[in-house]
Amino acid sequence: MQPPGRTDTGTVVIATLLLILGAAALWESREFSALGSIFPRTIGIVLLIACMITLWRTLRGRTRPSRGLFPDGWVRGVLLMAVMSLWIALLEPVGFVVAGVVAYVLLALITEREPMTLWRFLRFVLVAAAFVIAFQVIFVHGLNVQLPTGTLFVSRA
Amino acid sequence: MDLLAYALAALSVGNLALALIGVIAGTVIGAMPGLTATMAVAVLVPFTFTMEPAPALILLGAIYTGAIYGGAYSAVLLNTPGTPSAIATTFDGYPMAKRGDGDLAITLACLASVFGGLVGAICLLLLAPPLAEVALAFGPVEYFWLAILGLTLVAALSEGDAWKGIVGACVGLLLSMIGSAIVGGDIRYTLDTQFLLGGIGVVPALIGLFCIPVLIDLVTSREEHLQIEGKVAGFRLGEAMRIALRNKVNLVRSSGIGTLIGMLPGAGGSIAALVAYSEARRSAKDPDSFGKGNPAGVIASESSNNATVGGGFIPTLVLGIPGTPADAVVLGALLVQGIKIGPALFTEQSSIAYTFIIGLIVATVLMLPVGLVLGRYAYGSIIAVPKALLVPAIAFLTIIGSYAIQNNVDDVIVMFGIGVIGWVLNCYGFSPAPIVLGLILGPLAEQGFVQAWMIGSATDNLLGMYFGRPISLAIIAVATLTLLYPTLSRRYQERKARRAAARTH
Amino acid sequence: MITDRCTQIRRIAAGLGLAAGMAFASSALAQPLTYVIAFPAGGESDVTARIQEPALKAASGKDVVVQYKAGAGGATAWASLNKMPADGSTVMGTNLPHIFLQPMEKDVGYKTDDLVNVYIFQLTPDAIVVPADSPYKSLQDLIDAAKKAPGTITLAGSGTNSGPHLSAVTFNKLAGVKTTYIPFSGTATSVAAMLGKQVNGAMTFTTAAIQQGDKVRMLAVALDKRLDSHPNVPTFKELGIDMTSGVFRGVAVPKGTPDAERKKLSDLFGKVNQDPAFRKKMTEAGFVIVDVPYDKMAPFLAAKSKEYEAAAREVGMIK
Repeated sequence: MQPPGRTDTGTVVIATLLLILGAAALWESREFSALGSIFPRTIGIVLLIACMITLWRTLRGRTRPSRGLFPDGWVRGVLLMAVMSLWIALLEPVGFVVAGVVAYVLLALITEREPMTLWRFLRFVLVAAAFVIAFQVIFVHGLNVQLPTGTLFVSRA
Repeated sequence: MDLLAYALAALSVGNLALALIGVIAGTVIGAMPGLTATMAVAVLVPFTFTMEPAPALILLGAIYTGAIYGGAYSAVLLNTPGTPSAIATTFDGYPMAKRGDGDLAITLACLASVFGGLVGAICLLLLAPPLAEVALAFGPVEYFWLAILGLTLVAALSEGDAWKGIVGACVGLLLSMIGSAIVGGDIRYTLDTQFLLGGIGVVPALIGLFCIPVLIDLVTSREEHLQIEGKVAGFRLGEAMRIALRNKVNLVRSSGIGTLIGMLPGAGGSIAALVAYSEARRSAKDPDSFGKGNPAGVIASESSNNATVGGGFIPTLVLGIPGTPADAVVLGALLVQGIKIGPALFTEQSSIAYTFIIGLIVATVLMLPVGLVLGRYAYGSIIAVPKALLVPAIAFLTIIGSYAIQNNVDDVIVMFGIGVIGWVLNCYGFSPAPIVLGLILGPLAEQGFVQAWMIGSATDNLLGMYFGRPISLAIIAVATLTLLYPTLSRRYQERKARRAAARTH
Repeated sequence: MITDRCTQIRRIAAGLGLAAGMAFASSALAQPLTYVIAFPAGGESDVTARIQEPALKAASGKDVVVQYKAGAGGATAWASLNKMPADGSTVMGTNLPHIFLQPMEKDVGYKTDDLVNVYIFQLTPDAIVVPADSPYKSLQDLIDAAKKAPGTITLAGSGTNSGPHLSAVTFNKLAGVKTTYIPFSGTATSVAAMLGKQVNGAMTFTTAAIQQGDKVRMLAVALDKRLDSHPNVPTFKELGIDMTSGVFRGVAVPKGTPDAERKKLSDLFGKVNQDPAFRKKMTEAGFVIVDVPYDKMAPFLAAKSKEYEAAAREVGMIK
């Protein structure tokens, strides 16, 4: 049960957002054909009801307290997401290997809590290079699966 | 029958070697989060074109079954299913690992996978033609009710808050409707982009929903991943076997469910494991212990998902209709070899079919020693690898895994996007499993429903269509039971307790 | 710690050495022909390409590398064709009517004219198929049953606004009946539904019927003349229904490919079509070899465009 006097604002926000999503889904379904709208409408309605019940239960304090976004500090988590987004964005421009090695090292640096030494850093770089290149070789040359090559580099040639 | 001759052929040195290599390779690939069993089969298929058909099939079958088993490793040790069919293994496998029973969980997974795989393969060997007829008897209505049965699991999977689970399932269901509808042809919820025209792929979404939250957790928490006091324990084989024997009903039932659902074209292995888990939970004496590290959950999930391997080959070999997506790839490989697929395979070229099936049995048996050894090694190395190197490795695998499905960066974007959304939802009690359920079962439910509607209206038999067919009635019964059983049994217990209390007065 | 570093250095050296070796080896070979398939591995387009592979290798002297770029029913690949290398080293499989119907229906990221087809090499003809023990022994039986009870006869097919859907609607119009088309997720599931008697019949392809062998009966085939492998199956045309349709497969190149390369590739695929081993494998499976080379492409596509547009209007796909 919630400690008295503290509402789980996070859940309230989420439930409200999803309520709006359900409503939007219902709204969009006006344009669908008869058969194509049965499921979207039903699901939309169920979603609305379930969100409303969840909201009610949360506001009445009948739900379990949730963990919250970052119970242990937000910096590392946000950095992880930032690095991964960058990684994905850079996959095509700089290619699989470069993006992979750089991102690997960055993520290792973010995760590591012990103080950073030069040797540790080098170890990260070596492992990153070995790991990424090994996979690159296996996938592209061994299995004939294409991986992004850097378009930035190629077009210069 | 020339079964003996086929058995000898399957046990030839070459084929044995292929089975062994396949199981090892499959297990390793399946263990890596992001690389799925279907992908393992798909990328390795071109290598089989230069082989004879029977050895090629044995290799592919061994890879497939190894990969399905391998998915348990990351499910138990990293809380991310290595392959979609291992979703249910995370529910109890990871809690077991957290309390130090990870090695037990992995050994159990091995035993269960071997048992389930054998059940599926033996059904394939002895009962394939009649079972294929059963598979054909499942029409759109049955698929619809089966999907509904799957959705009733939502309540069971939501860690206590059923309504949040329903919300999650609805989100998953809505996500599954993005794109071009198979029935009706509407283009729905694509926000007018070409990006969403193909819909949200199940595999990228699954990888994202399960792996991204785990990554964020690993990065933000202070502890090393999976602390173990004392030495890394051994196989705990004896203990595992005792648990398996205690759960023999669970084992047999889950393997049966896996074989049955695996042989339904279009249903796929991930649903089998979830249905088996739900049934195991429902019929257990202590259903609330599921999800907290009850070995029975691991047993149910792993035996059923390996049973889908053999089960899936039933319609594949008998009818030429793939039971699971990996089977479609295998069929393609056969076609390229010039093998006539379809009924002719069992009649005109039965030697290939039977040699393959026995080879599959051999590969499954080989999975026992291979699995135990690899499992110990995997367990030891995951514990030993420092978190700083583990996190980037997992992130890397999620990216390459979602990219390699269709050689498309869009899938990686979907993976990450859905992953972040899933993480936010999970932080507030909306767990990912119902979302995945909705995503997987949505198309099944909708197509089944609408197809049944069209056929029913065409034949003026709507009500009879949905409620008049024996198989659907059986499924409806099970679904209703699953929904109502907890409440009914609670009320029954309460009444019993009241009566007992009244008697003592 | 020290052993860790040594192992790592050893690992990296091995990896780099391997990579260097591979790179060297691959540069020594002639540039391979990249054959991109717009559908997942194991499908019919993939199988066709694999069967073509040995003949392509023999006729061109080059290695063939098959790649997959599945998604959105082929649209993902077709929308990306013109971004691929336009030097004659890359071809992509195309399917009719898909490349006509998809852009007609919605914005899929490409227009039919964006794809430069250099050869159309195969036709998988439509066929109406029923289970072997079905009460309909001939197409006329089916038509009579449909006329007696309009709408109650159900035909399974793959997809909505797809080739089979359009064929079913065209069949209805030309035969003057009303059958109900039930869309399924693919050929396999629609054949399964037909076999399991969930529907009365399937509007599917000869390849699917041949796979099922004795378990099914083909009522009619949408070709100009009867299939060699099934001389007993009449064509729709003979029965008074002027319907010849099916899925055509061809290859296209990126728009920037120079004319000389286009002609070269067209000749190459033409040669492959003449290869006797290739022809045998294709016809045994139920495919029909067709030859529409580059110089005959434009009128062929124009005629098909008109045909598909008419059928699409019939179905209500476009107004």
